[in-house]
Amino acid sequence: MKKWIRWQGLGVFVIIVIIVFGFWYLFIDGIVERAIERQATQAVGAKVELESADLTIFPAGLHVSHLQVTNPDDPMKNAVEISRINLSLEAAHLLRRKIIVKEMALDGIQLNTPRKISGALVSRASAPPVLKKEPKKRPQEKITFTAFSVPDVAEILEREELESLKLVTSLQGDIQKEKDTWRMRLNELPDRKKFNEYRSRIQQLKKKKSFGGLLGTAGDIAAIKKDIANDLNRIKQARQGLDRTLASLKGKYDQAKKAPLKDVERLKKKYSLSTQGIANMSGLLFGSRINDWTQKAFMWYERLKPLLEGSVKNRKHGEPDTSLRGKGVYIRFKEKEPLPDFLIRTVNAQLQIEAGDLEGSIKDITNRQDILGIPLTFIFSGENMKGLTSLNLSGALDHINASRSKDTVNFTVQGFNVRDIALSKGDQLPITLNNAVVDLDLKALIKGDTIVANLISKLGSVRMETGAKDTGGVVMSSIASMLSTVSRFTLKADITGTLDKYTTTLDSDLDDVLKNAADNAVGRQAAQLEKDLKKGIFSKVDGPLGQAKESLSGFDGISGELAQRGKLGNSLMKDLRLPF
Amino acid sequence: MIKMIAKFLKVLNSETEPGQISLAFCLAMILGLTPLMSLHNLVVILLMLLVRVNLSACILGWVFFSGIAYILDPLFNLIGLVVLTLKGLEGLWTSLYNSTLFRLAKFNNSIVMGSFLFSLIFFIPLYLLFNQIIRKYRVYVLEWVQKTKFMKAFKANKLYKAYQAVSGWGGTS
Repeated sequence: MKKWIRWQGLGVFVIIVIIVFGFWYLFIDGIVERAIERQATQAVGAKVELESADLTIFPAGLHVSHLQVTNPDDPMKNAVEISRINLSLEAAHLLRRKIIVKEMALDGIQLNTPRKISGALVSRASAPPVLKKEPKKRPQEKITFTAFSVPDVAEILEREELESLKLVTSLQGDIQKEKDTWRMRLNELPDRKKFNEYRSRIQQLKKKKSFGGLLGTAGDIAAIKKDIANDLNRIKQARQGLDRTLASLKGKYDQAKKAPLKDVERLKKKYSLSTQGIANMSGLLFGSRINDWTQKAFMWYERLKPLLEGSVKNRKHGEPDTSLRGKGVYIRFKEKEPLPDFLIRTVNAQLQIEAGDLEGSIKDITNRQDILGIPLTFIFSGENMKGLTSLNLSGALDHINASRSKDTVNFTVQGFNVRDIALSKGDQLPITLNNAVVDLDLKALIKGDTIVANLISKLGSVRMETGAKDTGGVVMSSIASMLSTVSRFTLKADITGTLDKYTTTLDSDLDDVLKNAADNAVGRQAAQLEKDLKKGIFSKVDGPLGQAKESLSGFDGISGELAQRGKLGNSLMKDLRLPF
Repeated sequence: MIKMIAKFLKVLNSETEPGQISLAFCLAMILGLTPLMSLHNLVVILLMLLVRVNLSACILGWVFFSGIAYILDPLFNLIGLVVLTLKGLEGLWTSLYNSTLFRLAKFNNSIVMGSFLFSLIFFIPLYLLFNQIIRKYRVYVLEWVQKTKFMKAFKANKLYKAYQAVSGWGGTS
């Protein structure tokens, strides 16, 4: 036995173990520091730095000082800067290769702080691919309206073709044409000369006295009678035709007489001002900002979401974790007390914002909620802050079942003083919110990829300043004047859809106030336009219309002539009655 | 390294028990084939130091088997995956998974499990095989090798001088 065992080897083994642990104890802080920086930098896609990290064994914990997380979109700023991080670990779980943080305290959290040197990565090859979304088309910050200046009436009448004038011109042509036709036709009809011939023939027949002559006379009389009757019939038909022509021309005349008013209506409709753009004035004033906030919130949510759901969704026990080349895969089995590999049970944080300090806590942070079975919850609040009465933020991120994730956020702000915010920068109607006290209530629910968010903000002690110029016209002046009198209003925003494609609907009582003001101004403008158009159109149409009326009276002569010829024919027919 | 090889050759050519050299190789096989930072390797190192095995053989064997491990990693991964996902063994793995000691041993890693099983299976056969090889070498090859032109040339070079330098060290390591 002695031949096979060398007891001094045990001593060597102990020395080796002591050396390894000594090495670990001396260098572990640096290793942890670099590991945190490397992993976090890779996750964020920009430099993450810390001043120092101190790992303690008894009790198990880690103290990190001055952590700076660069904003990947603005490398000269830190997205977050934290003065101190103290965390206590559950040591027993470390042996099972689980990092369970009992409590984490974050002191002096500051957002959006400037950096001395850029935190951009020199080579972003190692950074995870960040999906760059096309920025959504933002609503205009310049408020512009389609038609707030009306062209001059003379210009309108020069540019537009008047239906009434066309009708009158056409009527004049028709009257002239018909006159010519009837003059020609009058020449073709039996005239006075013809009827005088009939009279001469009748006189000669009356002179015949013999029996034979009388018999022949009767035959001749019948023939003359027939001829006269035919001529009278032609005259009668002509008179009927003339009546029809006159009726038609009079109808056209009546139409032409009414046409100017139709033109006035049509042009008034076309050139009147519209208040359509004002119907959603709140959208124009606040839409851009709300859209910006929504996009930023969604961007951070999309970044955080994978951290809550881990790399593999819905794994079952006995199934491998993600494989790493050359490092094998870890197979998970059912645990008696299931715990994820990484869990922070409680984070107590103090957030320093411009208005003051916000305090709150986050519970149950893990990348495997499916194992823990508890959603992440958070609550932050601040009271009596600078320019802010109170602020409360709470919510839950439930990704226990990643395919049916449900996240809720409630955010309320009371008495938030807003000063000097440019709501519109356009030349036409620049608007500045000089002062307002805002009460804000936001409720958001994200189920899977679907979002329903509702924001109600009540603005009191409002003072708005507008720099509307005279070029904006009466409507602009009315809006500007009304805005300066608004002292309070409510703004509601509803965001619905998916994270990729959502719609923001804004509604405010400010819209009604402004629309009424604009409607009144537009109404006044429309009445003036109508008056001017009537004057302009009638001055163009009245002359030709009078000429047409005069021309129509020219048909009286033709009509009289036809009547006279008919009379002559009828008197001849009386003369032909027997006995002579 | 030259001194290490020379030392090993000296042991190989001496009257040292072949089992001490073979066992050193077999323990080095576990150390080399399985991931170094595994709990069981602490036991293997303890055995290497506590049991009177040839340390030069251990180190050479470790270097040799570490090289082989890179080639065999896919095979170990496959073996580990098959064994760890066997339905019949699920109960055993589950109870081990709930033990802190075994979790620390990373038994549920496919390469740790695959390479460890592979090493265990080949431990005794290789021990016996190495014993046989060493014995046969000493009986048949050693004398013939000494007479070859290559060995004569070898004796004239640096390696042989190193061998000579340690030849006076007596005993096994």
